[in-house]
Amino acid sequence: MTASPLSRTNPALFIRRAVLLVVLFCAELSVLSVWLDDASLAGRSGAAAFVATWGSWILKSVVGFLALFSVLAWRKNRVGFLPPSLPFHRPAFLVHLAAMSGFVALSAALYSRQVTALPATPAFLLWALLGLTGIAAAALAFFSPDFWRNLFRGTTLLSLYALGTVLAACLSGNSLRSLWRPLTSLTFTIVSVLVKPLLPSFISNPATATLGTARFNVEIAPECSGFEGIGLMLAFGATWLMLFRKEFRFPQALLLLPAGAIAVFFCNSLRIASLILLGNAGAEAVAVGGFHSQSGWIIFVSLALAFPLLARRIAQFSSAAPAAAAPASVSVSASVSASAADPWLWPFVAILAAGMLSTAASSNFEWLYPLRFAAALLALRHFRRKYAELDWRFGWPAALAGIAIYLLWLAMDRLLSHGNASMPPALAAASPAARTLWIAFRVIAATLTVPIAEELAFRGFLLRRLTRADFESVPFTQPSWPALLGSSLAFGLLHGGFWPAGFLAGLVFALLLRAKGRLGDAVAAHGVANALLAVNVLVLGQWQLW
Amino acid sequence: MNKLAVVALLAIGTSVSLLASVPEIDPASGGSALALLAAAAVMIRGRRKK
Repeated sequence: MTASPLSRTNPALFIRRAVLLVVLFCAELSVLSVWLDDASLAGRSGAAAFVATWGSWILKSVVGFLALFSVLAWRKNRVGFLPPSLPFHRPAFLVHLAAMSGFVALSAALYSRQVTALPATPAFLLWALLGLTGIAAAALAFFSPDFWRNLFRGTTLLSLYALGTVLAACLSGNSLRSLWRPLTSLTFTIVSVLVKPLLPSFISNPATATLGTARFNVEIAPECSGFEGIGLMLAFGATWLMLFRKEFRFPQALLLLPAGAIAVFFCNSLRIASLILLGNAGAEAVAVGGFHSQSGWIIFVSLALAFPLLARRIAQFSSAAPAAAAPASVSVSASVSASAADPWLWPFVAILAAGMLSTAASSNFEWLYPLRFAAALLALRHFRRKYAELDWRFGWPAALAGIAIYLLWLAMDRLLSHGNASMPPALAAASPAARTLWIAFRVIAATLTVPIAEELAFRGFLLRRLTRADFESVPFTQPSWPALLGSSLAFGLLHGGFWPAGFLAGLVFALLLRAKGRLGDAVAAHGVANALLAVNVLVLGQWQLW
Repeated sequence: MNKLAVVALLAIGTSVSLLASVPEIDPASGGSALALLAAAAVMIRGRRKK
C-alpha cells in the first residue's frame, strides 16, 4: 500500500462499515441457526457426515482465527491498509443476497432430510459453495478487492501467527485427551486421602474409580479429572502474562502457569471430596445439583482472580513492584485505592457472585435467589454518593423501547422454546407465603436491581471503556460505533441462546443512552422490558422466560 | 522465546477448555462465570498502589 496517511479513508468510516458487515453476518447466522442442527445429520454419510463431524470445529476455528487476528491487528494498530475510498459495491451485494437465499433454502432442505431425490454429497457441495460465495460477495460488497489484498499483504505475519495458534489449539485439543486416564488415577488417590479420615464407612474401588460411602458415592469419570480446569487456568494465565508482559519478570513469571494448573487440579480434588461429604451428610440433591455444576466455576474464578493479585505482590515475578528496594513493612502495609470502575461494576459482580453461591447451595430450584437482590442492594448502597451524580430521569421513548424489547424477546422465545414451561415443582409445592415472598424478590430484582446493575456495567462502563481508556471522560452521548457493537455483543452473549435478542436489546439501550445522555432512560427501558416479561411469567404461566 | 512459550500455552489452554466438551465445568454457567471473572479482573487492573 503506497497511499499516504492523508489519502486514507477516515478510520471511523472503515469501522462503521466493518460493524455493519459483522451485524449482517450475525443476523444471517441467527436466522440460519434455526435450521443448522447437527443432530439431524446423525447417521448420514458422505459430505453430510463430514459436516456433522467437522462443521462445528471448522466454525470454531474460523471464529477463533478472526477473533485472534482482530485482537493482534488491533494491538498493532495497523491502519495502513486503508484505501483512499471505500465505495459500496452493489452488484456484489446482490450476488450475496442471491447466494444466501439459495444457501437458506438448501439448509432448510438438507438439515430436515427433505432432499431425498438428490445425492447428498453433490447437494452438500453446492450448499458449501453457495455459503462461501455469499460470504465472499458480502466481504467484497463492503470492502473492495484492493482493501483485502492490502490487508493480507500488510499483516501476513499476524495472520500466520493467528492461524498457527488456532490450528495448534484444534490439534492439541484432541491429543491431550490421552491425559484423562492418568489424571483420573491421581484425582482418585488425592480424594481418597482427603475423605478417608473423615468418613469411617469410606469405601473405594480403584477399578471403577468409585469412592464414597454406601449411602452416597461417586464415580470419577475421566473427563472429571480436573483436565478442563487446568486448561482454563493455562488459558487465563497465559493471556494475562501476554497482555501485561511488561509488568512481569521473565522467565520466572512463567512459573505462575504450572503453579496455577497444580492449584486448580488440587482444588478439583477438594471439590469432589466436598461433594462426597455433602452427599453423605444427607444433602444428595444439592451435591449432585447446584454444587456439582457451580463449584468448578467458583474454584476457577477464585483462583484466576488470585493469580494477578498474588503475581503483583511477589517481587520475584513482578517487575512493577520494586519490593527489594523498599522496606518490608512498607511493602506489606501498602494499600490500594479503589478502581474508577468499581461503582460501575460492583453491583453487577455482586449479583453474579451471589448467583453462583446461591445456585451452588441449591438442588433443583434456586431458593436463595433473594441473595442476589441483597448483594446488589448492598453494592448500590455502598456507592450511592457516586450514583447521586448521575441523571436518573427518563422519558416516554424509554418506555416504548422497553415494550419493543419485550416484544422482541417474546418473538425469540417463540422461535426457540417448545411451548410454555410451568412453574418449577419445588416452588409450586411451597407454602403460599414462601412462594409469594420468593416471587416478590424475583420481580423486584428483575425490574429494579438487575436493570440498574446491568446498565451501570454494560452502558455506563463497558460502552465508554471500549470508546476510550479514560472512560469517565466519555460523555454518554459520544460512544464510538465499535463500542456500541462490542458492548451490545457482550450483553447479548450473557443471555445464552437468546443472544441475538440480547444483542439487539443492548444496542437499543445503548442508542437510547446516546440519544438522551441519561442512564435513567436505559435503566427504565430495561426495567420495563423485564417487568412486562414478569407479567407474562406470572399471568400467562410462561415460566421459561425466567 | 518467552512470547512463543506463552502463546503455545495459550493455545493448549484454549484448546483444552474450549474445544474439549467435558462436564466438569458446567457450560450453562459459563457466561455468568466468565463475565464475573472479566468484571472483577477489570476492577483489579484499575486499582493502584497508594
